[in-house]
Amino acid sequence: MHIHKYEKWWLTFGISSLVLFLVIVGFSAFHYGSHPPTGKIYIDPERVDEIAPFNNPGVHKVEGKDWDFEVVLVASAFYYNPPEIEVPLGSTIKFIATTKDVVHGFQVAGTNINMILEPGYVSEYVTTADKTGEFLILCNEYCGVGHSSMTSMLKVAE
Amino acid sequence: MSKKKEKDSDLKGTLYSVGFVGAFILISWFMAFYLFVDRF
Repeated sequence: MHIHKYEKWWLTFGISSLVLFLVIVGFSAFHYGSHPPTGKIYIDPERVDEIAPFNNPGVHKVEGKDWDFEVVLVASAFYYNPPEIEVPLGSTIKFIATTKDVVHGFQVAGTNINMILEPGYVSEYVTTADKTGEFLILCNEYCGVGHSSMTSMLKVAE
Repeated sequence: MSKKKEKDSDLKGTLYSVGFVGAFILISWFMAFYLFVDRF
């Protein structure tokens, strides 16, 4: 089979780029454990307020875990509880969130934190806040008439 | 038996256009990846 010299070049270029992308993505997934937020824990959406940890939403300092703070979040039409989150710079945070009614989103603008909150499921995400600032939290799943005003704030201070 | 070798067609322009598209994909992929890595 005759292949033109230039065709060999761009086939090599194309295949090696694909391999490079896959190696980088695979390395960050399997070595650094970067993965989408989990939604494998189930909860009765009717009784969210009574079930721990959602009976006590807020920012909680924890000891002896891989993270320093647990942020327990309950979303409902059309607000987040707690309405504001404040954490110190450099702290590792675990977001534990669910919704009481319909599907909501939990996106922290300007960061990689972006989860879907589904009734009956607990969404979790662990990250280290290594930049100071105020980050807008917003709902990115249409949830009803108040959707556009459903916001909260993540404050990372020194 | 005269098997004349077919003359190679000129693919220089094709090489440049493929290279341009490839470089664009590569650069934009790394820009998006940097954005992901840089954010927390």
